[in-house]
Amino acid sequence: MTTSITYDDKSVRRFMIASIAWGIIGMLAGVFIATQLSFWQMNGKFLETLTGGWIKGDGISFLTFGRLRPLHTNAVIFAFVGNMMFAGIYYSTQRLCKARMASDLLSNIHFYAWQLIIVAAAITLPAGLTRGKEYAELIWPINICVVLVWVVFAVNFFWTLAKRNEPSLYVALWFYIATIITVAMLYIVNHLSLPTSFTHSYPIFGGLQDGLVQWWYGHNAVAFFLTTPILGIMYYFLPKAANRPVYSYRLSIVHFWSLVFIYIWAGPHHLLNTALPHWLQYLGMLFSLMLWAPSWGGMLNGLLTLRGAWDKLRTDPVIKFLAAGVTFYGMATFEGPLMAITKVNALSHYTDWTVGHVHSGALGWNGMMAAGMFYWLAPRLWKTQLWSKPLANMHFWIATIGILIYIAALWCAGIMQGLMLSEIMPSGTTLRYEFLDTLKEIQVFFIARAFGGFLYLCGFVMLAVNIWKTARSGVAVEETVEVTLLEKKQKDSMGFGAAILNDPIAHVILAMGFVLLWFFLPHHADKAALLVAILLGFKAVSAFKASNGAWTNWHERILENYLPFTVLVFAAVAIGGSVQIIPTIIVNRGKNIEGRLQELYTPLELAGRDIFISEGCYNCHSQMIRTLVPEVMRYGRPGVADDWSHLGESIYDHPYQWGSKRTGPDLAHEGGPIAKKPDGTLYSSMRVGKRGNDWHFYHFLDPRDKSPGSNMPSYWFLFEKETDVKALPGKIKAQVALGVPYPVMTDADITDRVETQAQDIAKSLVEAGAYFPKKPQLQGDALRNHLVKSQGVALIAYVQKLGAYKNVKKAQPAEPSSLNPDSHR
Amino acid sequence: MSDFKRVMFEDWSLWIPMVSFGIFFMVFILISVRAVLINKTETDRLASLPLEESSPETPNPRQS
Repeated sequence: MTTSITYDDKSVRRFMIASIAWGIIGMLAGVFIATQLSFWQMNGKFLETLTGGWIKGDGISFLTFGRLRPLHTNAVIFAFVGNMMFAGIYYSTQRLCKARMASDLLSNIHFYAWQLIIVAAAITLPAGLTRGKEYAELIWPINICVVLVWVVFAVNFFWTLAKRNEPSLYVALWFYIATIITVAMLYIVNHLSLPTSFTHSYPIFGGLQDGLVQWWYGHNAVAFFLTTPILGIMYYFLPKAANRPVYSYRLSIVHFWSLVFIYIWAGPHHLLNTALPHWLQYLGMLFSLMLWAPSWGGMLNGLLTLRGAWDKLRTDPVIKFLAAGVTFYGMATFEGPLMAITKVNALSHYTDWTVGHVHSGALGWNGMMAAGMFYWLAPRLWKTQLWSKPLANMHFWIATIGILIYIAALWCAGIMQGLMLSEIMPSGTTLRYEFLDTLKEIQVFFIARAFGGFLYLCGFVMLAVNIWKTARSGVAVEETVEVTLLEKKQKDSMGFGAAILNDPIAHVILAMGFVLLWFFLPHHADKAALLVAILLGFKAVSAFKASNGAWTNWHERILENYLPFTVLVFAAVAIGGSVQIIPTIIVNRGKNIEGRLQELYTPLELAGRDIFISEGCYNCHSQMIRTLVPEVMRYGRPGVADDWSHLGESIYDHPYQWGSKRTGPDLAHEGGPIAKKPDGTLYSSMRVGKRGNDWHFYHFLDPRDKSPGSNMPSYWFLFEKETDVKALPGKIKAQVALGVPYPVMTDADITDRVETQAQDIAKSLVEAGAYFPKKPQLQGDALRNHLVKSQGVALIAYVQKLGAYKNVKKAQPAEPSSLNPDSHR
Repeated sequence: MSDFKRVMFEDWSLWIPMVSFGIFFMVFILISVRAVLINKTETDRLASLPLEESSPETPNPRQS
């Protein structure tokens, strides 16, 4: 029996147009912040020139690098690639299922709600409302909206699978399933937070745990948001464009399962050479290296699909973009594992090499695949010809040249800076270069990078013009097809149990699992596990006989049953995540402190920390001195042995602030002890670290005053804004709920402590002759009264606290003991 | 058996990468075997799914 189906191509068009529009905005933001790294005036001062002095200010809060960089990353990831992914999924899923999307209402909700989320992000991020974790910056109400919209998308997608008129699930659909399941899992876990207000929350994880969860999420946002859906798109659109089937369907099976299974384990490679437990570092490195195989298997499968069609590379811009995209996928996935080797990572991490690597993936893989897909889709969605092939070809070359300039510049910048930062004088006791020396040396590469990004942006504007003209020359149509309806028993006839439990191989796997349990379970339970393993062995033999000698066909069966397939995918990704996260979460915090326990922030310091996060300082300053000699020499404190960042020093940090890139120096040990008054007694809470309060005051006002050549924005406005003291009781209450052992404090206690510490800092500034150029009339007590309420003073308090710890006796080495294994329980 | 289990328990965390690798290797071998043994006619059919044109192209209303 056949029926006529009209595909929902309206949603595809919408997502495609949204992707192009947000892509231009996201790339524009990228080019803009790239110029800020070379010209500090781009943080707001330039408006003074543009408006003839009407707008004044060396830095404008919502234009600073720290606030705009998250806008750029979120726009590119979730707005550009997100909408592109949805366009590709909506188009291909309908064709592969031979069914219209299940619900127009859900499709509409998905589209409009996703755009509203992006608009909300575009407003809140420049406003400084952030959770302070990379690619997870959006505030909690938006997080909830993201989850709800994702559920809407998932329901619509799986409902469409259930309605499909094709019994088998094509490989592209597997990748989409993996995307939907895994992104949901990652996003929810990494965004678990305790709200303190409508716009602020603290992540429930802290310190090391937060770092692990963050990079479990961050790495797999790359894997399951920027890679697996695009691989699905590759497996659909590349055969379509080349008009030939994928090179090897068998290879695609190995590619899918290997990739899905391995990717999730590799997150800890973002924390190599830190104080992270070594087993986790090895795990991250090992599984990253293993990623070479499936990634290159996928790349080769994509490129070899073009066998016999290579001549199209000369003439067809779609093939050009798709082939280049797949090639960049191969290059980026070669470079990634390389950078996950501990020794290479010691050089590359915290430098621009990482940024270059990310952009070879984002611009080369995602951007090129998006362009190829859009150029292929537009004529079909508007039933016309592409408006200009020459313009598309021009786009291709300008984008390719732009990417090459971009990543080559950042390779040079990253490797040069990494080498300079670790170079030690022949005497072996001092470092050769100051941090600022390295920053000045790589300026030329920063300019080249901005130029490369600008070229890429220009190419994308060409795409927008081409697609717009194409749309104008045609008419938006919904494709209608005749399909044969499936009988109910031809698909999804099997539950998960039926798919697995009658299979000999499945029994063997279960038996092996019970053998593992035999190793680990306590007395008697281990014998029971062994018995179950033996019974399962017998069951495997009987299942083998019952299936007439066929070892297995569960894989074939689950390809026609989407629910068991989805459960299996979830199991594959959940195993890797569990191995990384659960041991670290269940280990008592006390075992992770390595002899140093973080001193709690005072209320004013906590307020300063929230300002640090709000301004996005973590985008340029790490708080993690790695276990590398040059780092300890550069950032360690004089007279303190082994002064790398011990895990206990940040154990109460919600969120952790170890960072991922150093455009400025590390701040982990910037702070110092409680300061002494002139009479020799100690202040109640005011501290002074490596630099005095007045140094920080002038540095925030104009970083170049204290650090000539610095590209840091001016933060004069922090001395104009008041600290939100009223919010502190609620914030401290939330911290206590998360396990930070604050003593009991009334609201009045908190206010008094803030007042005392702020007064001490403000007084020290005035006594040091502080001068606030924005209000030159303020002097003496008037200046002190102004400063005491300012965010700048709270931030100084926080910076002066960084790295403060108290010594805790380390656990003694184990004494020789008897060999009774039960003593360990 | 006790001695063997003691070795497993002491420094258990150092074993995790190796056990993880073992689990992956098992999955990889299983999937590879399945992929190699899968019916060629079936893989050809699956591989050609994106290329199926269900009906003649919908005409451009402006051109018709």
